[in-house]
Amino acid sequence: MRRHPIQIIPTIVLFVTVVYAKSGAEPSAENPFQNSDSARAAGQKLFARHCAECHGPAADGTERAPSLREFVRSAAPGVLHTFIKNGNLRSGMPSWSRLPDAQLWQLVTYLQTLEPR
Amino acid sequence: MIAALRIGFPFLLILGVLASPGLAQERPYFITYDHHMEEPGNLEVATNPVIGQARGISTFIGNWTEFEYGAKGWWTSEFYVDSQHTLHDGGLLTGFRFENRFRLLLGEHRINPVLYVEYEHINGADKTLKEVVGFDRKEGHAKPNWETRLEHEREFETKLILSSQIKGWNVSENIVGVKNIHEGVWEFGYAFGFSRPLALAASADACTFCRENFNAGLELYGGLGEWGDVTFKGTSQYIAPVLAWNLPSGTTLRVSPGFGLTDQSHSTLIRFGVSHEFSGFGQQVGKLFRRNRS
Repeated sequence: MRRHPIQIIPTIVLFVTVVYAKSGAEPSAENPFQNSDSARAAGQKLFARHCAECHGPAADGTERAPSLREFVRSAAPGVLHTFIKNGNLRSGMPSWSRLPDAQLWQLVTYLQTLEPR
Repeated sequence: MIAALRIGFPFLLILGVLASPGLAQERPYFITYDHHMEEPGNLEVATNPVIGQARGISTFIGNWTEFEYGAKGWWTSEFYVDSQHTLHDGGLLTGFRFENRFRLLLGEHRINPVLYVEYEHINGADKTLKEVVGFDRKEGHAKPNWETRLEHEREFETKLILSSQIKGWNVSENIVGVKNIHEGVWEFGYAFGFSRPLALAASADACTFCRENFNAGLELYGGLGEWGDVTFKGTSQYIAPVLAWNLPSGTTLRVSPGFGLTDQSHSTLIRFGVSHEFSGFGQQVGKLFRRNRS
């Protein structure tokens, strides 16, 4: 039964490599959730969970990170998506690539509804 | 184990006073590292017991308690305290590890390399099986604690971590090299893991049991022999499904039943993990020092 169990390792590595090779294109610059109320609500929840600790619960900024209200209104959705995904590691903004693209777009949808103050 | 709790509990109380809970999305892996760093200023505290079983060896619980701090966006520092308890034998603290991880490329790339550097001072009774390298085998855990605790190991460990995010999947490969500082040759190992949240989009409602809070995957890890004899033959190899549950409170629960694939491996390794992230820990500590100076 346990004669050649190690053979499973190359099989799994091969499978993942094929999936990896077939995946690929960069996400579109268009927000697939544009103007979606449920995406905005989901984005608000994600913001409270991942971003509010630094940017403040209302995105007005804290001593750890600046206000987002001016920046997010003027930025193109694709630029915002890329910025959240990559972060700015030198300045302390973490990369949020651990979140799936769909959740990043939900965040963008919420952020772009914020009014400047 | 009890000694580790004695040390850890007061420390956790202090943390609770100093910092508020953070809410990160934790990786489900126990052995494999990905390229995601701890957020700057945040501290994650985790405990990770592993129950090991194999024929002819007393069942044991190994445990590592870890303190992971985000020094910079590209630099994470971690301190581990290891302990174990063996059935019919007793328990003890087995040593400590100190590691640093550095992201080599700052932006997000198709493959993101991270350099891992660790110094460890543990004794031969260590049973955390945090990394499996060289020709590690289950028989190494058959000796009694009074004997193995006398074997002191000061080791230098490096890992090259390669990690990718692909359509919601994380795929990570780790190549491990370990060298005893005083003697011996380089020993090698690997870890490979892939995982994905159960839902890619978040639900609009606040919820504890939403699918996006769960992350499932698989890990493979094992030894690759040593310098001059790189091989799978005669090494321990494991396959382990992993599941993580990120609670809205900032706590993450993880479980992973692992199975040995070779005669040298333990037949089962059941791992559990509880971690909690404290947001703004570094800033709060900094304020304390500034207040004391003024």
